[in-house]
Amino acid sequence: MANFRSIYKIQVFLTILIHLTVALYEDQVGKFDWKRSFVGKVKFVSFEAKRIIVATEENVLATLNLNNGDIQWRQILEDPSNYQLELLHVNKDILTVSGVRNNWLVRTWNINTGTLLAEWVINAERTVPSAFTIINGKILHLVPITGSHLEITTYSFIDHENGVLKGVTRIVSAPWLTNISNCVFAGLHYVCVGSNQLHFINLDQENSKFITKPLDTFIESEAGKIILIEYKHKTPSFLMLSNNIAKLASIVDENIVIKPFDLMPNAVNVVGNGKDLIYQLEANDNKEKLIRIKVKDFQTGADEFSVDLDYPLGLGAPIILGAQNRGSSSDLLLSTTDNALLLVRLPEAKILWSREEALSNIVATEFFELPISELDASIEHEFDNENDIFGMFSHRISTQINQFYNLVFGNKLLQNSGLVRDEFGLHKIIVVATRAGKLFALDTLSGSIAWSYRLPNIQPFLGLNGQEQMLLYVQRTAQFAPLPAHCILLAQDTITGNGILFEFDPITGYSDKGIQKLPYRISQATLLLQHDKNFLKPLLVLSQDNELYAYPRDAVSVIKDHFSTIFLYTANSETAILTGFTLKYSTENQMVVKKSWDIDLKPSKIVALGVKPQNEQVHSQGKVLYDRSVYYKYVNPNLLAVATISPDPMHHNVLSIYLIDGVTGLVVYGTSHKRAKGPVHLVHSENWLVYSYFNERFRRTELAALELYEGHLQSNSTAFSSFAVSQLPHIQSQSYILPLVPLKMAVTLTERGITNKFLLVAMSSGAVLEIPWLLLQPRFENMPCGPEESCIPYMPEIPMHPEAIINYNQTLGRIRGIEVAPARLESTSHILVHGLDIFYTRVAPSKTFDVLKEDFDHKLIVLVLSALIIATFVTKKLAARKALKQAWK
Amino acid sequence: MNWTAIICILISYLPCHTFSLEHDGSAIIHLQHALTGGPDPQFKDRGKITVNSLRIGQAIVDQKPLAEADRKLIQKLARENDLYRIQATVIANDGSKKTFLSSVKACMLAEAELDDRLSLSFDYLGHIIGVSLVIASKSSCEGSDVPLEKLKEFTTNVYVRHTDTATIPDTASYIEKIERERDAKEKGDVKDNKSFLAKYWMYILPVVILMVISSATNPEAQGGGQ
Amino acid sequence: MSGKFSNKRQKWSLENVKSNRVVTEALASPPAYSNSFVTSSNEVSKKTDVSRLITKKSWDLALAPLKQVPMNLFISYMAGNSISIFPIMMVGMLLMRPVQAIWATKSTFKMMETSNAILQMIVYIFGNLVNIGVALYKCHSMGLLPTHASDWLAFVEPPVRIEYLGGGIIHH
Repeated sequence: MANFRSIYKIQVFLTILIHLTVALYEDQVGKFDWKRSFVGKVKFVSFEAKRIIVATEENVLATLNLNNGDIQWRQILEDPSNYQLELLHVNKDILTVSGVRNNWLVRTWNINTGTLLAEWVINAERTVPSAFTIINGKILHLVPITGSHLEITTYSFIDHENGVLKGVTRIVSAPWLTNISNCVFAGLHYVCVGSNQLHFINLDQENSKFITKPLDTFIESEAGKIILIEYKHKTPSFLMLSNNIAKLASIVDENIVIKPFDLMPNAVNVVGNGKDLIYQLEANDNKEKLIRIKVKDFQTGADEFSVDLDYPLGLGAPIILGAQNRGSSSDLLLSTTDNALLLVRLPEAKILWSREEALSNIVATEFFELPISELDASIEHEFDNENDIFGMFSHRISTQINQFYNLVFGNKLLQNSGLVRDEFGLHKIIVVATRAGKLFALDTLSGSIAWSYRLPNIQPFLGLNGQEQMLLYVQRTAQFAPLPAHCILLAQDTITGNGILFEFDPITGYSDKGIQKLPYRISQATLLLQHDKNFLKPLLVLSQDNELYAYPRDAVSVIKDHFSTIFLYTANSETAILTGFTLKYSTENQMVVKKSWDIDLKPSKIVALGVKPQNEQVHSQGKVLYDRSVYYKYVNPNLLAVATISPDPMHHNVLSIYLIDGVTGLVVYGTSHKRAKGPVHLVHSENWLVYSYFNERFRRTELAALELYEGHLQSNSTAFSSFAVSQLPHIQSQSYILPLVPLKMAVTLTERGITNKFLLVAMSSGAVLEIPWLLLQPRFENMPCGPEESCIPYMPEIPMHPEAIINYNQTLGRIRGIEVAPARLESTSHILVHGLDIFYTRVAPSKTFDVLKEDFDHKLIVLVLSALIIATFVTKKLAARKALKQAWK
Repeated sequence: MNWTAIICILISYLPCHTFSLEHDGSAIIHLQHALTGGPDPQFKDRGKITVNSLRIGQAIVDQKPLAEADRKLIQKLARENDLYRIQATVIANDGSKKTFLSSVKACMLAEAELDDRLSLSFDYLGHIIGVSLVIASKSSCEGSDVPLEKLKEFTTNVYVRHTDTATIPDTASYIEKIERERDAKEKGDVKDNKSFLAKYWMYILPVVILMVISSATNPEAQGGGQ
Repeated sequence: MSGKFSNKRQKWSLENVKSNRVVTEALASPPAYSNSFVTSSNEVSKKTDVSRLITKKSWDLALAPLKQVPMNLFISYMAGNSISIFPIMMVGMLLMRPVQAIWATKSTFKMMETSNAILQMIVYIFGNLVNIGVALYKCHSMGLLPTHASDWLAFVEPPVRIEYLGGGIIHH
């Protein structure tokens, strides 16, 4: 009973709390948020009547609608960094094999709904790369033992114990075996290429052995350069690729028959209308239509027909993933080097739909304000030629006529270009860089792709805990019309590992310089605040041998006066050493970085680093206490939060959090959690830090909040210098139980920082929760805490309201990041959550106090006001008349 | 320029009652400083600091008064607004050695008349993680000329700083609080049976007073009327 | 309107005069009653009475604000310290009335037609100032006066950042 009462009490309090969270009404769903779903780079594909079943490198199984490419259902399997799908087999139901090393999961799925029907486990002994196939309803697992033999284990679904499949293993001698990548399946056969020899085995027969044929009898090529490619056909066939020319080989009666014609390596077979055809892609000389689809006869190799494909320019080179014949027409599913998926319908060679699967893995994000409309820009041009008064006058008149025209007949300009700044800065462009090396610009209003740009041979950097990221910097926003916005992307060359620099206009995607290859490896980069005569903010890039480079190159002249106030730091995740650098000794001709401090966190390991958002504004410099005195905040913009984990024999793992001044290297504060482990997520903002960790003792996720205060006196209210330390900050801390598993954390950001802050927590369940900072803010001891002090009494467990989930029922797969940007409206923040899905929404932590509600009745108020004005005049008239009448009486 | 800025609030290391140090230890710190400015400084010995017990945090500072030439160098560094850098080699009691670099603005050091603070930060096991030189000051400077007689000797204060033990979610006191509130409420229910007067005396009293006042004034008014 | 009114009055007064005349003519004065004496003595007492009354009245006027102080205190006490429309209105009235009264001091005392009302004016203004004080105290206890540091917090500019820091984890 007592428990019930306390629960009831909490419940009452929670209902009060709901006012802190801003839930969505049903009719607001999709009004300003959108979601795009992806499946990842496709690995296996199977056509099934009106749908395409795909298994991807993101370890996702999904079916796509054949006609529009929409996802019908999607099953997200285990983490792709460990688990990979190895087999996709469709036969009434879908069968998949996925796993890691020697643990495999065999699952069957309903083809219509995607529900899991059954699951078995295979525990293999070997941990080497292996291959799976299905023959006669049995799973065959082929494990090569280099230089010795091939182990073939047959699993039948009847023979299992508690879901663990039992297999029968037989060993086939194969002393020439080196690598499984030299082997392919050809129908019931398994074909391998060794040095000078071709080996194949019939898997269907018991006790079959490898049959060896010398290579040079049927192909003239240098040994060891032959690659086998799978080719699906009713006769066991495969492609032999040498010097980029493929030959089609078939196994007929334990002999290999080579077709006399050449093929491209991406040839596929399509059977239909009584014809047995080979489809392949070829490069085309026609500049308009770069790709040609050629169709050949399987038996003779004679050209049946060829058709030019109107291939979109932005896409990478395609390969054919699969094909199917549908009577008079046939469909080709193409995949490009930038992970796009295209469906081409033949014979008209029309691209039915395309999916940009590169967006399933975003490694850098930036929000951009749009340029002002041409009309507004033309108003600003009025004073361009100040001497010509008549010109100015006519300019003014014409723009005002234009304005009037737009007011009356709707904004023609806005409809034309679309990408124009709106009043509240709610319409933005999000530029994202993807792991596949493709840049996209997304429109925040619709989620559509404004432009895309493919950068070949680039890869992201590896940051902390293997997190992949590219660096995106805004050098110039769109505010400086007529100069276009300017943005820089930093990445890595896939081959050399050297830096790649790409400058572009984020609004149009235009780049006048293209990809620039840098002659050094990038260690860190930072964008400075000063801007040069072109309003470009200089970018400083630190190479791995501590050389400093500035972009644009002549920016040094801008920053030369600020050298003594620019500091850099690097954190080495391998050695756990933090190093600070000063630019003080740089000259205009040569920039040098010199070490100014270091911190050695060995033997701990750095697991997280939290810095404050660069564009953050702190509006209030203090906290008002209950007695109306002020407790000033310690707002150090140079403060770094570092989380380390050290293995400890007594406490398993110890998590330590250090607050370090990045200019002087002073450890401002340190705290440690015993028996705590990662993953650690840090959010650092204003004067506070929030971090989550896993408490091993209580087996729960906890959230801790630290807040830093200077005290009742502000040491220096005009300028903040890290060198001037008059007092170490007072630390307030409090911790909480978080009843969920966080994947990512972020904090909302607004233009001026007046609005309350929300913590955004992406959960493993695919929801993003908003937690008011007020709920986490450490309470002062011995001070009253209530609504009058705008303080919520301490609750050890963070409540989770369904109303506080910003993506309501739109579950997001594998969230990798939450990006936040302020709108011009103080109340609002833009939020982009990315992972397997992309979700955009806007949040208003203090509700939209600066705009009228959507249901505000403008017409009614105008009506009432005008009625009142009219009524005043009428009554005035009537009153005057009455007075006159009375006077005459 | 010659007045000495005496900073009212100096670094005060608030001794945390919750700091956690698993094992006590000692440390010897060899300090070297660079009195020549520029990008590539030359370090020379400044002194030695011995911390006998990390837990107590008391340090013995062994530094000699500065030679005339060194004082002039510091004055020059301060005038040129250069950095004053120190290199601290820390030898822990297990014999392990770590070297740390730290920099301050030379003009701030000179203005503070060589009164500096050395912050030694340790992790929860007592491993040193950082040595920082700090000048207690409210604002930074951009070069200053300090007379030589004010630059005599370093008066170094050493602060041994450990990590705090972090707070854990305070469920016990929360449950206690809820129970207390419940008890209070139950008691409140009993107390509610007080008499009507006892409960609402504060509302009744003003009304009564008002009535008394009005009745006191009324006879007068009536008398006046008659 | 006035014409109409005077007309009516004339009508009425005519009748009145008539009846009056009838009455005076009908009844003689009582013995030892002199009509003229009464009027003359009346005139003398009226003269001294008017000046006394004016001083009395002016003192009443001057002391009125001071007399209001206990009432104002009582109102303030009753209004409570919560900030809602009625207490705010009350406090506004408390504050506005004395201020208006001070501004209107001269016109208030003009009615008295006495030249030497300086003392009364000073007392009057003092009384109003006391009332303002009461109102200000009320404002203070309601927390409406910006007397705390927190009231000026919104105007504190963020300190200028002197050093600039950039960097992060070394990319591999």
